[in-house]
Amino acid sequence: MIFREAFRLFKSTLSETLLVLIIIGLLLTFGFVFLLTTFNLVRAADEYRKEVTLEVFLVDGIEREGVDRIKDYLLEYAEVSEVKEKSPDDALAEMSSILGSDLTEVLGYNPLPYSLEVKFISESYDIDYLNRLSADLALRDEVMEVHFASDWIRSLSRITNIAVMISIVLSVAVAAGVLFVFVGLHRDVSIRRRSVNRGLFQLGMRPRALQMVSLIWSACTGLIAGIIGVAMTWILWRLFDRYVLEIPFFDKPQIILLIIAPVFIATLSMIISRPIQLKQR
Amino acid sequence: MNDRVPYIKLDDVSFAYENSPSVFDDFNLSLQGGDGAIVTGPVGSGKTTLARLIVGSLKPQRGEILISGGSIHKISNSRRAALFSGWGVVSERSSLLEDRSVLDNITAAMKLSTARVGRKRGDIENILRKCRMYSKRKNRPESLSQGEQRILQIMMAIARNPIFLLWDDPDSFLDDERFEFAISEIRRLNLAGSTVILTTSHPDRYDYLNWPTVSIGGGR
Repeated sequence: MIFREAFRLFKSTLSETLLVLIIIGLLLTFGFVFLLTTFNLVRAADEYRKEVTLEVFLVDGIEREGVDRIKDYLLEYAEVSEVKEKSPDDALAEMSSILGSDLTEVLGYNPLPYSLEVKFISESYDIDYLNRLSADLALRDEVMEVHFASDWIRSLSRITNIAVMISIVLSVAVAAGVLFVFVGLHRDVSIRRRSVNRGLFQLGMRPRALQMVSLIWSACTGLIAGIIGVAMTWILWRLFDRYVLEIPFFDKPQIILLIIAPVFIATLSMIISRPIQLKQR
Repeated sequence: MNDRVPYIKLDDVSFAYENSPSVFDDFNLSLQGGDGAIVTGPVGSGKTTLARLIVGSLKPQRGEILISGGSIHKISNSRRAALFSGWGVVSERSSLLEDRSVLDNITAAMKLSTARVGRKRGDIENILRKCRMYSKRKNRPESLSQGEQRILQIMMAIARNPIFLLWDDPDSFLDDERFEFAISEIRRLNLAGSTVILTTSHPDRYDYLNWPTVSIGGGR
């Protein structure tokens, strides 16, 4: 009876509900597109962060034991994912390929030091951490100099933080907008539904059952709005992915979350709207 | 006496609308399960007020209205709904379900009844034919005349096989044929154990029911 009444409510308010759901769907699409952009920006930044290396230049003439010691010392850090050795010969070959000429032909010797390339687990480091680690390493006898692209990391962190903050603010704004529109719909439908609710109550339908009817209906409106939002975002993503730039879409858990969020907002809206008033005449 | 049937008791009930003279002063009425009663009085004597007091939509200033020993005003909305599911109430204030057809109104009334009536769709269509409402079974209440809305309320009440039936002002809106059908159905329900209260200004129309008459008016 509860589900049948919820379906009847949906059917009797179909045209009005659909119109509002399209408006909410557009609002959600706007929010979801921005979230997708941020999501891809953060993902790209994350990929770049994985490639960031700390270059540790070792003192001239360092012994094998010294290299192993500093290497073991670095691997003890939980944030360090990989330590790669670069011998002077490797460094020279790399530089020669960049410059197009052999430095030893000019200088008569290889001036490049033995070095270590340190990579990190992406989410576990920031600029402060790298500064502290660099200072710590610089104090060691085996180390001549430590270098990393601090400006680049700082810019990357700043861009990511700004994007995340804007996303949070925009998500809250979109959620508030969706809630506002839902409250309008639910309040309007609830007022029109009042006489039917009163009739059902007089016939013996319990207040809790009447509330369940409203909540099921509102949850369904939220679900449809969520599906509309995700579907429209998917269409826009498909066009962008095909004709502009290949980027990934949301993954499955994210899609489920994006669909469930409007269900939660719609249910909250129905609770705020206080739909059931059983005052009898 | 049938144990399923509620026992209705108005115990020293006093009621007055705001800034108005008293409608009831220490009014008493007691009905055992399966009883039928005609409450009579002139227009404005408080018949509809009495009906509203019984269903709990008005609260007396003094006294109590007891249903099966419990005060209608002291129970939760949930328990009140449970009570209503065994009742049939016909009055100008009874709400019809505006969002569905005549047939669906009757079906909902049956489905929400605790009596779990064994009526089938064919029985309902039979009642609709007898009330000359079959052709309007798909109409919504808003498209019905006042008389048709009233007969729909009666059909909904009858279809529920209620343990208590309250009909406020049966003389209004109905033509003779529909009236006779409705009264015969109510008599049948009463004989089957339903408690029935009819409020009317014309008690002589119901003499043949041989039910006790309670006169109201003059604040008693």
